Amino acid sequence: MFGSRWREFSGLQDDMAVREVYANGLSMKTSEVEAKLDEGNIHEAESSLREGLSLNFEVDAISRSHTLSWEVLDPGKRWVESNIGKLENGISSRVELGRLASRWWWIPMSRLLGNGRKWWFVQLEGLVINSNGARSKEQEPERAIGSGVGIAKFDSRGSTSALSSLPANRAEKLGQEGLLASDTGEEETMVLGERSTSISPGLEWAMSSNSMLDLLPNEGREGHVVDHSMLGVDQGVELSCAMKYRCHEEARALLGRLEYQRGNVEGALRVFDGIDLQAAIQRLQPSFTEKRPSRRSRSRTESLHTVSQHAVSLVLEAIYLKAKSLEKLGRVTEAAQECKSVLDAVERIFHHGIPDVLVDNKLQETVSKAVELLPELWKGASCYQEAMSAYRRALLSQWNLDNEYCARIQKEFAVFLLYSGVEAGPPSLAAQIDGSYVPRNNLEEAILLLMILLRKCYLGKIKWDPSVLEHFTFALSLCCQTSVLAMQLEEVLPGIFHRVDRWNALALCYTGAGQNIAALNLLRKSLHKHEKPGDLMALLLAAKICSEDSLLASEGVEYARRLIMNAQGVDVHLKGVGLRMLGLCLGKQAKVASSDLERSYLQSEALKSLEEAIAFECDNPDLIFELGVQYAEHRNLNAALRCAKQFIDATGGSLLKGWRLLALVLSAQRRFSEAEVVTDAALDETAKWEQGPLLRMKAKLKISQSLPVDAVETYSFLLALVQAQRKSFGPLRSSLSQAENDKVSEFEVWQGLANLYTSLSHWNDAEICLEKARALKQYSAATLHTEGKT
Amino acid sequence: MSEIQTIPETIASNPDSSCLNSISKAQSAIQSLSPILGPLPPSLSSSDNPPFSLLHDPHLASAISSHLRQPNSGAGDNNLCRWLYDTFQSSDPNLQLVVLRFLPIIAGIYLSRAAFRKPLAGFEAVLLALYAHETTSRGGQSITVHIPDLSHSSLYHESKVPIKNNATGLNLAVISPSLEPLGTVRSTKRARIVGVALELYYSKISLMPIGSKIDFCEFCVIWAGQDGEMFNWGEAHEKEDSSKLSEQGNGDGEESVCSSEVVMGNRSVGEECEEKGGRIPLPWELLQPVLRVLGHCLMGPTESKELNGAAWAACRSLYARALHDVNPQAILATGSLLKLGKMAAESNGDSDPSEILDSKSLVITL
Repeated sequence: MFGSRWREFSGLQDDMAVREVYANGLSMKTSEVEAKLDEGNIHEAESSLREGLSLNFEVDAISRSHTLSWEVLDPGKRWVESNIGKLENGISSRVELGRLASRWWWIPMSRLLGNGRKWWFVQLEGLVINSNGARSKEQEPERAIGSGVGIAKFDSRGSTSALSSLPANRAEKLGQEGLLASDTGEEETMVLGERSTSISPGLEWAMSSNSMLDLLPNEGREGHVVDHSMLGVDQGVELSCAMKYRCHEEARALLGRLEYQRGNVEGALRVFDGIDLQAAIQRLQPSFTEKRPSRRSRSRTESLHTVSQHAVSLVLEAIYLKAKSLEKLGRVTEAAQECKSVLDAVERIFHHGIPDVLVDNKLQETVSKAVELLPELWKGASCYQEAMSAYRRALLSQWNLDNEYCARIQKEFAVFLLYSGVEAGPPSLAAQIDGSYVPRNNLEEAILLLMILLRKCYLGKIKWDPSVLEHFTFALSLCCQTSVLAMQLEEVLPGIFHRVDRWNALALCYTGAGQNIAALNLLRKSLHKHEKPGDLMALLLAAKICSEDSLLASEGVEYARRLIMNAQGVDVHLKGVGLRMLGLCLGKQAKVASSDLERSYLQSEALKSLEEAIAFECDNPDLIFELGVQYAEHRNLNAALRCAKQFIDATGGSLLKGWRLLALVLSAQRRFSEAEVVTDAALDETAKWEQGPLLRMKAKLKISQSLPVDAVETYSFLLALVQAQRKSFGPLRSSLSQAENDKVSEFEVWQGLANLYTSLSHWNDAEICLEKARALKQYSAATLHTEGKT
Repeated sequence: MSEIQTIPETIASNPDSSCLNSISKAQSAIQSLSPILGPLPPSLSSSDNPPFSLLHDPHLASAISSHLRQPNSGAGDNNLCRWLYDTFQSSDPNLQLVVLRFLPIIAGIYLSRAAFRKPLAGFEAVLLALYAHETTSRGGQSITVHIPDLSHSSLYHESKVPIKNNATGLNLAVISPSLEPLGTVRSTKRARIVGVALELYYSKISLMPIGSKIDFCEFCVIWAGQDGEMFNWGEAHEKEDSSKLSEQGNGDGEESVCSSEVVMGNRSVGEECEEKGGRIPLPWELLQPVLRVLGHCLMGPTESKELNGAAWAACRSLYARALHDVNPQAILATGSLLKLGKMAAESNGDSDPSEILDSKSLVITL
């Protein structure tokens, strides 16, 4: 109701008009008005102004973004129209003498009567401005407002004349920022409605000293003073009853915030403690829930919204700051509860989520902050389950968060899921949509969130955060899903990574996913002489890849040599690895050597570098194993035997390959029975499932010892095992086991059995076995060969 | 020590028979512990919340850990191992936590000693009990992860319209393969058993006291057998600044001293550890749970400077080890943790987004 009246009254229909007035400023009839004012003919002045004249105080806010614009109509007497801050908000206020001009938050200004003085309280963007218009010279402005110094520009037709500064006997200027300090009355009493609250002097006037703002026209003609420290209430001044209860909450909210900003957390908390959120919410709620009856009353409803939102935003912010204060005082659980009550209140006020439009920025900001803070508080209070649900609530409810807030919360949640060790459990059914992907555990949810974050980065919705990619890398490497990671790395926009870093990271991913050739191609690029030919990690990885393929081995030798050369300074510890890689590559190279001479040369070189490497890494069992293999290939069986034993000792027999090497070396020495003992020992140490290679070896040892019947028996064990493995649900069982790469194939078993029966002249059995083998692999030279024999 | 509150709350909130039962079980556990360790700290016997004190009492923890570090501690007839085994088998969750609290030490000493043919049946019994517990609670099932694909809509997608997309399947990753019951520790299964025990530890890690996690990190350094000091980027800089006077040589400053002390400490007690001692093979089935626990120690919600220091040292060592083993997954995982640590160290002074704008920018000044 009042809203429309006020609009009429001010002649400003909408924001555009406000802007227009602002823009035109004093363009019209200013002098006319001034003349009228000088004559004291205020009514006429007012009417002139209502025709569109305005006196525009452009206050050049020293703070970066705030521009104050004042339309002053009949300063101090009739009503004051003020537009401060962002004009787009259209926040205006006015005071009418003799009548209560406003509901406090609606047109957030009120009037005070006392000792013939008038006080206006202007609320704007959460700040209350106490404007005091001293009517005439005989009233001392500085008495009325306390005191202050005004720094303002009075903009009149482009000519800037400085606003007068007030006699400022008790004021101090605060810094270059133009903040005004006033250090006035010591024993101000604030009377709020029925309740008279006496706030200790240090509290409330300190507030005003923090930020007093004065505006005074020059020559003391008609002064109005704006003091946005709000409750600078003089002694004996009573707020009119309109302010009553509401004011109590909101005044506390403002007061508390000022305290908080000054760092007086305890003081702020004392002030905030008096706020009854529930009551405030109940009072404010109806204005939000009421429906808009028709289009006509739209503006009214909107303004109601605006008004209530100011109040809500103020009270909610106060509760938020209360939570912050409690957090700073180390009372984290209480803080979390306060913070939660903010969100609960918001949910009660907005039943259907926060609308995009119609919401005050300030309120939205408070809500966003509270949403973000709550899980952190629960975390701080070690209430991890509450933290989980707070995160979920933050992300799955409609808070109308902007991208930055949302991204921060998503990241924090992902980190929490990844590292907290607290299982979140599946999200509530309400959040699940048919056909959509629902994470079942922490890792899945964390990976999903991180993927979404990365995608947002690529789309430019949020700015790049390198830590997101690192968390993602960690999560996916844990899952051994480096190929997925590689895909994500390929999506990273150019300019974020150095290309060599990206190639190297990709190479690691591809190697992890077993795509060695792709990895090597990338490494070749990054090790090119124009890129970073000395990068140790790349050299290491390249040498490693090459050492596994005899056709690449000679290339690997190059990398390994370069690695050894570059492993200096802090990286000297990698020299041993370099030598080891060199040895491995040379050993592989020897296998494809074209001449005997070359082969023996390469083999001895390989041995030499492996022995050198031992000097660096005497405690690396892998190295001992590799040395053993190299010795064995060089037919230095005694040394190989020593290495194999050493390896088994060093690993406590935990690696199958050690046992196999030992058995092989022994059998190479024709010590079959010892080899069999070793194999049996190894079988003892191995779970049934992984015994395949050992059983095969055992069977072959039996054959070598001319014990075909035993061999057949062993083969039948092996066959049973292999068939069981084939039938069982393969990939889940053994994908991590070490025996993965040397699984015995069923074909091999049948083929071996066929050979065995052939040698025993059991032709029928041999034929059956061959049939089975052929069913698995149709064209095999070995099968055909055996078939020929039978 | 914020996490301390969790247990008493649960006990206080449901003072039913199971809870009283739990207290009496804990009291009997304490009674049976005293002949093994000698006189117990008085705070323990008179505690009104015995399971809690068992888990968190620092004196008790140090007494047990020094017992565990004795040369013959892992033998089958070792009373402490038997106590740990019995305590775990009591099937009281709070008491099981007490046993899990010592898992880092048990696993650490066990794996490092496994190469020395010492009797370890006592440790093995405890580890097998943990393994069996995890096997039954999981029903032997493997733990898998479906790697999400953004082309499938999900609950965190902004558009809530489900996209019909069945073209691309989700990648299935096996975090932990299925478990089969094991009656004895076969040497080739050792890493897996310890790995599964660590998975169980990880699932309860938010309830573990910091001391236990520090133990774990210290053993990581020993297991890695590599000094990771050269990757100590952050602190190396600080040291350069602070100790330019003392020339070089400070490169391997406190951290390495600290880690070598750990090694030394282990050696002096368990003198069987040879030369460098303690380096063990780190197959993925062991390394993966180790990295998960380490991730928690580094980035988890617990804030402790000591734990952080120990965890970074462990991370550096494991990174060095990963490089030496040229294990791409481990390099990626530990490398990303290291980078995260570096970022965290660099961004210490970042502004707190939850703070309201400071007064200077809020005040409308003239």
